[in-house]
Amino acid sequence: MDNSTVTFILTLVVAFIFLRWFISPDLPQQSVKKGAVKAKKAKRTKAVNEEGVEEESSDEEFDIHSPMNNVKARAVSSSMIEVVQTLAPQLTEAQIRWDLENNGGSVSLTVDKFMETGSLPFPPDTAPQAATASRSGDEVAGDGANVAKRSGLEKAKSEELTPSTTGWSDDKQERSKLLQKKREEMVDKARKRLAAQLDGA
Amino acid sequence: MPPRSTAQRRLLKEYQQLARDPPPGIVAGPLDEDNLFVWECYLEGPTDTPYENGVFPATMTFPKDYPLAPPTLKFTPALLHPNIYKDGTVCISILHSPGDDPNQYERPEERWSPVQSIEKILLSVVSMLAEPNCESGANIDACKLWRDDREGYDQQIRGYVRKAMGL
Repeated sequence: MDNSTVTFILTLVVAFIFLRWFISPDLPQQSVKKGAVKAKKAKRTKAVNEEGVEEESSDEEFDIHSPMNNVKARAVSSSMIEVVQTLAPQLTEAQIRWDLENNGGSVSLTVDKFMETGSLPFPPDTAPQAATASRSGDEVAGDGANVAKRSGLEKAKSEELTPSTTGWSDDKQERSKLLQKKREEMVDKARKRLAAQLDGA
Repeated sequence: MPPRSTAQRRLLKEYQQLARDPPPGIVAGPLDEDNLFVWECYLEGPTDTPYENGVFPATMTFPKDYPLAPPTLKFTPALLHPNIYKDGTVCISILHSPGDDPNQYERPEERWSPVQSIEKILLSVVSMLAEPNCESGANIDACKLWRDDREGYDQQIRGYVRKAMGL
């Protein structure tokens, strides 16, 4: 009776320790001695290296016990990427992963960035592709409908029509003046065309 | 004052893009830069339509949670068109958020989402002027006129354009 109770309790304790070990492999790292941690780290680094190059940089930070460590360590799971991708289906996984890694794995920061700019930057290791891809990404976000409609000819025409008023001034008042000027020019030109048409008819 | 919210930063960016690379026949920008949520847009009537040579002002109003929710666009003064309500409000799919479908036939990809833009909205509106969609009429009288008496419809709009342009 006594014996079986002790065995039972021991089994429970052992089972608990085992489960704890398997479920949260990160936890023991912090409580155990440094040597053990280093061994673990080496293991993690290897595993990570097989996955991809980008993660290497975060491994260096494992040795420093900064709070960023934990964030980085659990950063960028596929479910996080999925969350962002549901909102922004035209982004590639690489773009999302890169941005999440850069901001410490904050989905909300990444989403905010996407909302503001309409796209996300490409990771530098895909640089040759990024030059063309990011441009097409911008078009998808910014003026995709426009691309189909606007032929090169039309674009040239529009530049010719409004040579002085395109561009962006750093001064707020200058900008609003420019906008006002554009409006006036547009109305003026349309009015002239209409007058010519009425004369012709 | 630097813009703070996501919506304000996004609006400023779109304003910048439209200023740098304006699509033909469209001039759009905030009415007053201290309030980026109200824009004034000038749209040229598409060629080979009765709206040709007209310039139509419209006010675009953005919600605080833009770009999650779409803006509204209202022609001031109102314009006779099958897809424009009598008060001037434009009714097209790109201005409807995916959850809200008043007519139950629009495909989700035609509707508003954060990947759309002000430029896309305005280009859609210009092509709407050229090609009214009477299946989703907002102004029933204009729909009837457009369908049954195209000549009368065209004439009425040409007359309006002349008057609006002061000729």
